Amino acid sequence: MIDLDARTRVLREVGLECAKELADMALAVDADPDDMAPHLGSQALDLIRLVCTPARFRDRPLRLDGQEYGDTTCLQRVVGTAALARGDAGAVLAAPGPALAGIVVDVLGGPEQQERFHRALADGRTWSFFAMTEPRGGNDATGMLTRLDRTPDGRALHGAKRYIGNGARGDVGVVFARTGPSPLSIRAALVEAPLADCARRPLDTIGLKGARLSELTFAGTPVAEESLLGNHLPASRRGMWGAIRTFLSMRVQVAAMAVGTAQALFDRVREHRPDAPGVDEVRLSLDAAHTVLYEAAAAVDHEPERADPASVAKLVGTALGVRVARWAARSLGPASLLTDPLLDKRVRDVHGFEFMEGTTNIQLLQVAQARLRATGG
Amino acid sequence: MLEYERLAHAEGLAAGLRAALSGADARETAPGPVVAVVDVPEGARVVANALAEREGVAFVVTGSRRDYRPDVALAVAAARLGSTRRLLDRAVEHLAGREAGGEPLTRKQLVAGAIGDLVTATTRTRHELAAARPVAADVAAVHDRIAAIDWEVAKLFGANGYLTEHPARAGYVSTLVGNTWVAS
Repeated sequence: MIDLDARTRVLREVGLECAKELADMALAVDADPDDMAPHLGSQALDLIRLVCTPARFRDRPLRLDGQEYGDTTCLQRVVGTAALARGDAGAVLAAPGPALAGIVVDVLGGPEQQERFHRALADGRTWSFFAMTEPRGGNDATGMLTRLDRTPDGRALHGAKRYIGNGARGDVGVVFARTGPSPLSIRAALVEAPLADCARRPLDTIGLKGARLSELTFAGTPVAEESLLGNHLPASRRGMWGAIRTFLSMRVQVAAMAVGTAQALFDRVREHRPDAPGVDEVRLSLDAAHTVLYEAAAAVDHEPERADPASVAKLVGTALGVRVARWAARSLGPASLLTDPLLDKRVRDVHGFEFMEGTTNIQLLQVAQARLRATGG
Repeated sequence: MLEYERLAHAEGLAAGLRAALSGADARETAPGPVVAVVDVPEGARVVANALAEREGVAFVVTGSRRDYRPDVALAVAAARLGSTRRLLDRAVEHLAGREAGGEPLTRKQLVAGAIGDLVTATTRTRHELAAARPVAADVAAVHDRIAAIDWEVAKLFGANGYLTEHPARAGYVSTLVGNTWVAS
């Protein structure tokens, strides 16, 4: 069991307050995820950005209820995300700021690259993107096809990325690509708008529309040599090493959104039908899922070489989310999905987490491999 | 029942649903305030749903005097099951055409196992449907099973199946259809 410290508890409480703001914008963001202007500058979106920004790059200190925050831990971010997703996970994903790309820039970037990246996002109106997944290979980095070819002026990106959050509207992002055939040749490039010779289009998803998943096609997009992340690091730590560390954080963040959305669905049933059959069982599962989640986040902070706790958290969170969604729709009566737009939206959303940062089968393999390694199998 | 399932399997959810509803006025026999139909009755108030429109399914507000018919709800479940089998066929085709590690995904044990589970689950559910009594509890159980299978099938398509342009959207629409026919 994880005992949350005072700072983390305050972050959770403020997150729950901000969740109300996110719930209020949820349906508008779902209906038109490109029209974010009315929501920019809200306390909730600002909190999301500041929590994900290293202390030295914040435009103002992060102080909440008398607590001052330095660089946030994975546990703090996860506790905050789960609380915010109780308002709306789609709105969390629609927030401008460093998001997932920030994690990789903070791990792999040099001081100047980090400065460039975070300054570009400081206005609270600029999105970032993290481009790893490809149309054919999914998240399988070893099969990555996107190339970073040498040119007389530096490098050029060729290839396609798909299901990239905020990819069509991000002004700054990180793109993973190959500089050669070996696993060590996978590198991350920091790119900034305007992206020359790059076609970007949003994809229409069934839920989580705020994430504005997009497809990016690079046809020789120029990248300066100094924009490759990790030039200051040993070759073994320049590319996938940083990506893998990022994946672990991402995985627990996705789990946090799934658990937060499941909690929101539970709240909806409690509000309208407090005596619905199965309430106690769902509450028990949610309590357990929060514990699994927090322990996985603490493991990312303290045992970053272990992948299995993050996978377990994602498996528990996504399966629970879908189960609670089905229970909520049944509990709220016939046609509830047609008469309660927020219920319908959350049910659509909660199915999307399955496809983010590794599907169930991928996570199951991670968990099994960890167990087999531990037992010498 | 078999006919509704066969039609949905061959032609899609809307074709099966239309046949399942052919002997009843959906607005007078559904359990809730909104019901799924294919042919919108004249003068009916439509509840807009973009995903359903793409599947040829509409939702209309029901009448104030309703007499719930669980037998119709079971016929709707049969149509849904046909749609499930149609999607499973597509999913298997999709997986057979994708490779990982130099072999088709269908050769991967986790994937092959999932397909085996789903074929078994659809067979079991067809027999449950045939044995179901026209009572609310049986209707709920069968529709719930179908929703669970639909989700497992959707997962086989990966993130592609989460796009509105993908045929896997029929699974989500089927869930909405079922939600209008299950009494609480």
